[in-house]
Amino acid sequence: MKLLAVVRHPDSVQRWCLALALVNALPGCFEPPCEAASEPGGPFVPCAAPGDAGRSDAGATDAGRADAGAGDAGRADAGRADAGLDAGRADAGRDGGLLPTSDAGVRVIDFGTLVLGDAGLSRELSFLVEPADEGFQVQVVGLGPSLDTYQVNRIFSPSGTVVAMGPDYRRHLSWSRPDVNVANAVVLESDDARREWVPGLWRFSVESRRPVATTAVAVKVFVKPRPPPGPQRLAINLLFTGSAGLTAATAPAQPRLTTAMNVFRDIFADAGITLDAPRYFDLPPGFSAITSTWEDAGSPPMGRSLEALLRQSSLAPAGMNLFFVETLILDPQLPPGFILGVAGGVPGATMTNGTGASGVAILFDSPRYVPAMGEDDPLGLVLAHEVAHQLGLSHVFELTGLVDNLRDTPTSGVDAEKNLMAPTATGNGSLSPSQGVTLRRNPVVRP
Amino acid sequence: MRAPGLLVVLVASAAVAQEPSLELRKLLTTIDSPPTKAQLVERQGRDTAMALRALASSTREPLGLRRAALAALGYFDEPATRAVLSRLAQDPQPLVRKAALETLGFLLAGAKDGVLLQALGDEDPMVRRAALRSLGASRDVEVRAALARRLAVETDVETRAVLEQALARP
Repeated sequence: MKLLAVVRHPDSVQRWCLALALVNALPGCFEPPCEAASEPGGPFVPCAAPGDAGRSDAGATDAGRADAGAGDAGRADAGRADAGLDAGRADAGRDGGLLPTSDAGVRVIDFGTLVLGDAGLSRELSFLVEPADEGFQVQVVGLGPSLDTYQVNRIFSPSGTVVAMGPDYRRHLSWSRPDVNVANAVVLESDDARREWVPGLWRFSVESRRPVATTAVAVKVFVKPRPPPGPQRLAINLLFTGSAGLTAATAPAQPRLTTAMNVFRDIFADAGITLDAPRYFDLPPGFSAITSTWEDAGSPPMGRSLEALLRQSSLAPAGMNLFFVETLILDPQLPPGFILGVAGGVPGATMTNGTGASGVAILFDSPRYVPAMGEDDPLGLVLAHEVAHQLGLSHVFELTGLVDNLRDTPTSGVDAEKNLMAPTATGNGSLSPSQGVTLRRNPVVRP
Repeated sequence: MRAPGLLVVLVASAAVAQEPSLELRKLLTTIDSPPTKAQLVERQGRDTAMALRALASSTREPLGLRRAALAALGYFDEPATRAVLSRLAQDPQPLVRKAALETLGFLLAGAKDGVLLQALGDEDPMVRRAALRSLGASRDVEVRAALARRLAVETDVETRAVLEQALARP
């Protein structure tokens, strides 16, 4: 299985954290560029094949261009030689295209489609960050028919500092992890964020970790203006597969879910993020069991893939999408039943609905939980944990001994086990100040 | 004179040895980082499978821990494990039945099994679906006939969708 291939990737440090982030190729409808859909807060506009399909300026460099900050500047010369790449795919348009989830003044810089060279690298891209901005997220979506692993190779600040590294990302405070097939990087994920945050022209490139000559990606950058002081908000979409009797109609009064949502809400309130009242959605039949990560080579055995599930986020408006399922198996080669939740990425595609990384999946296979003495139902913790992954937080430690890249997080001992981002449900949901900053910096979290 | 005392000590040691360690329990509370077999054995020792079977079977343990122990038993394909899974496939708790069937299906890898076939008639649709998913990949004539019979009487929408998916497989 391809999952295993990626799990064995030498750079897959946080093996499962990464594996959980793995998503499949998008359905056919990501015909770049989708100008109308790029407008923050705009209504859903299905992608349409661009009129300039067939242009062959891919590979031209725009290094050093001050092309961002307004409208779609910055993608004026984006390579579109491969527009229409997905044309003819059986599932084209199945999910109605991609949906921008941005609002609250987030600027979207759409670089369109890039064709990566033989070495698997894009040309250098650049965009402008204003003094009044807070952070940005880079989104890379693979467009090819086969799975590939992408990464924001390097991000340079205007002062020339490498803020996020590529293959050696573990050696730097800000990480841009390789992901399949929707890679996202939130900058800056570090304690040094304030110091590293420099207005001006930022540069980055995109790398394919398994280069093939025809690899094409769609690239966008979402720049978040600095919000006013005070708590920020996160819109919540709850999407149901009917697992354990949970539906949009029953969910608002379901005791176990209600309790868990309160735990989730309290944890995020401590981080300065207020959860909006949830919106409820029912999915069509057939999504209650996730039995693989990707929808490759036809349907996975007796279930759907995680990426197929997360693409159902096209049903929902902008926000954080939480899917509830009764079976959650990501690797059919491993015993089933371990995984309580999974995020579309670290971070996931928080700014675009309808991709295979646009949300988190949560195991809900019992309408009630029977705790042992002194034990709580871990569901609320799982909700908060996976959403924190989706917004950009890593585990504070891994079973392999690796630790996160934030300086103020506990990485061993009881304090680490109590942290929300411990890999085990042993915590009380505590977060360090830097973890809170990272969560709030994601553009989907808004004033 | 000393032999009975030694026997008592040995028996007591065996009882203590299969007690799940705190470290094993922690490992089983994973949210999204499944432990490897080596990690489980490292935490518990040579009696890991026995400890997991004890955890999975204990009604005093939290449901989540029992479920994780059942999952971990997928690493230990032994006659005793299959016996425990078959027994827990009829546990009063639907979640335990489901987890037992999933792991049993994992170990059987599509092979025909009476416990799985019987579970097609479970009162809980989620448990029926777990059995279905464990059997669905089978090309066995008897299995496919059983699935077809179930489809004829199944009223749960989601379960019908899974049945139809299973029967549509070539």
